Amino acid sequence: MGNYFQLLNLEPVFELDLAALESAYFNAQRQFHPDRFISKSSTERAAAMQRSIDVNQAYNTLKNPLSRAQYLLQFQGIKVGTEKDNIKPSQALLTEVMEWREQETPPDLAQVEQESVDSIASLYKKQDWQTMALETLRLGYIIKTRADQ
Amino acid sequence: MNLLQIHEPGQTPLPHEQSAAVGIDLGTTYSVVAIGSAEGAEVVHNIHGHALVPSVVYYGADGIEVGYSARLRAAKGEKGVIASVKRLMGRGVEDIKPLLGNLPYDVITGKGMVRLRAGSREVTPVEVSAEILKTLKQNAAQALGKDVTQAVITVPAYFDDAARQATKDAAKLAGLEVLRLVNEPTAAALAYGLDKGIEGVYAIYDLGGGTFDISLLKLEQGVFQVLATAGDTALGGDDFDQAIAAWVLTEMGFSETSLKSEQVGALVALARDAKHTLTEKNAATITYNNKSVTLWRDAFEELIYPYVQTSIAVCEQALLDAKLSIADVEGVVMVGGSTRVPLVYAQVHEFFGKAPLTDVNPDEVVAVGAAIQAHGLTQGSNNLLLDVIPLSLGLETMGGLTEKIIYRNTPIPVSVSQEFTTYQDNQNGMQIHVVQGEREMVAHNRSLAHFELTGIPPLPAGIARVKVTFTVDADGLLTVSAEEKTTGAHQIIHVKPSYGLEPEQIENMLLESMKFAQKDITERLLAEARVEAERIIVELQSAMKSDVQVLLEGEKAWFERQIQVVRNAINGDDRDYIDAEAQELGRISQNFAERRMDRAIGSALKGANVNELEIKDA
Repeated sequence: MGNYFQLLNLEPVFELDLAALESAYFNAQRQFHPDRFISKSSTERAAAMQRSIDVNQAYNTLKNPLSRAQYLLQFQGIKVGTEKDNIKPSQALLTEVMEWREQETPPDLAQVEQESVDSIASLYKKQDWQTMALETLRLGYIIKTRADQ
Repeated sequence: MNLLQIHEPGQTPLPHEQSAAVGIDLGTTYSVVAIGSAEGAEVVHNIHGHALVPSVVYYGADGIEVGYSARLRAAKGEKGVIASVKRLMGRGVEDIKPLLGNLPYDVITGKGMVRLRAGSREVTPVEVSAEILKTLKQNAAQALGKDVTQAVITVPAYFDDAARQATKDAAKLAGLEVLRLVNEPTAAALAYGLDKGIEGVYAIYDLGGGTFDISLLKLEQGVFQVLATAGDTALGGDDFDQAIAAWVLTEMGFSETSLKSEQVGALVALARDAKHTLTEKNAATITYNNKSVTLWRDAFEELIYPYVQTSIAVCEQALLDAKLSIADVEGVVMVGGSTRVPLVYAQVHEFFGKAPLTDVNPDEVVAVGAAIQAHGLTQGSNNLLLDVIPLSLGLETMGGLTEKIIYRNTPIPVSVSQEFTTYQDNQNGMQIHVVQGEREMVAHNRSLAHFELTGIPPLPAGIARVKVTFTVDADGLLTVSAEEKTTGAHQIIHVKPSYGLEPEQIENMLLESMKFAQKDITERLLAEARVEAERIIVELQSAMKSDVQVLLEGEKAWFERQIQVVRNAINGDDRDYIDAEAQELGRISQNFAERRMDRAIGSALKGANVNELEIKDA
């Protein structure tokens, strides 16, 4: 099986060292970037470009906690944050989001976001996929609300 | 590293090869060519000692002139002179309405790409640019003592797809293979980073004659990663000249509309001289039509203040897109001749809160960076340029709305697929309109092309599923491919570029150009087809030996059969047949090539294809 972690030669974990991710990204692009294949045939160039595209996609997916969590959950057959979601928000979550939006002085969601990310990290370690999926869904709502603030 | 070594023509220390790769900064007002070497790069000076070649072309009855002599003719008010053509690359007449009346030549109204009246001829901006490129190519060949066939050409980071394609087409007309289109600020960062050894996050503020770019880059151990870029392709020193010219007319009581296009050229030349004077002095006197007026620096700065402020607002946008604050920016590098204007320097200084770096010649640094990259691409290098797409790509949906499919500042190369379905029974075709820009309405964005899909198998409405893939390559250029998913049939796509040239038009222009006889062109294209086909065979044969582990059963025989077909084609002289069979060989062996790439990633993959993600269905 090949995946984004393997493409970048990284262990598939949620708690990713961002500096290590970036350096893995640079290493992979040094290998596959189209600039390295200028004098090769069109076949080689096309194959390398496809890998370079995959590497960009891998880096973009793994560098953010939300998309990284969503990606890791896919390995468990759980889709969060897509049109084909099989996890639905609980009533409690919807109420929580409504409260954030209705408060006169907006709450400091930066801290809420950090706590959510920490929680996802520990749920990933416990392999508690269902709870991790719900928390990932919640993280999505937190980020969306923050962006609208 | 000695960045700006200057050698006498023909006395460069480069090893003698058959042909060379150069770096070209194809600018709005000036163009520069530089030659890269292991030690850095050197700017080419022509026989008169000039490094800068004015991007001005004169079409006369007895020939074409490029550079200072052409510009001199413009200043004298002669007809047939085309300048600042970069502003028209990849544009239609309606795009350049604001410029009309200010251009020192006539624009011919019509659909598609702009056409210009140059004396008795009609030319496209692509052809004019090709003339400039030919001159630079010749200058470099003269300095090197050998033919120049390949180049890295720089473009404003903010150039859209049509303008990039137009630049590539111009190179083709000039007989240059484009190794890579590199964004101007990125090229400057490469030259600056290597020369000064700077690391960290830097802003490259590039204000040229006609275009403005701001790029935020992270420089780290030979990696030049663009974090965000923003710009304005209709903002530059030309605007300062126009503002001065308009001021002169008002002061002298003339009306702008009473001027003929060649008179505009002469007045703008005077305005430019005044602007240059005001870089050092506090006042400049302009004499036009036997009248004189004095422009003080204060008044000049008032005239150009709105333009400079526009550029600062664009800088704010770039920081926002990169999620960076001013404090994150280590330093600001000034690129482009217009950054010599004191007000520009002062405003950039104030906005970023640090003194901008100006210690590499702002006119030459882009060409130097391009030459370093050209050398690196052909001879190998440890540097890596990671760039982004400057403007979002979208599709037209119901009600003339834009649906974005690739967002601005996404690292390139990038590929995104989208599925479409038919809305009528037995519908066999589909139209896709691709636009570029950030606005909601299609009408407010730039139309790039209409893609017409044909050959969809007859199926009830909503059953056919056509997967359309949009790919932006490392030059920032878009290609589209489509596949019908129920039958797996590859669709034929006909591209109608909104403002570009069709491949046949380019070939016709090549044929028409005086320099090549039709026979030469045909022979050259045939030779190129043979070389490429040969290359595919050689690489595949060597890969089949070295990577025998990832070769699937039956593949070897399959490839060898097709290799024989290509060999037979090469022995003939049907270029299209050679191309078709070589492409077929490439197509059938592509998967093998990808498996070999995966093998290179690490033993963990064991030849599996990374695209085949093992994701369990719910």
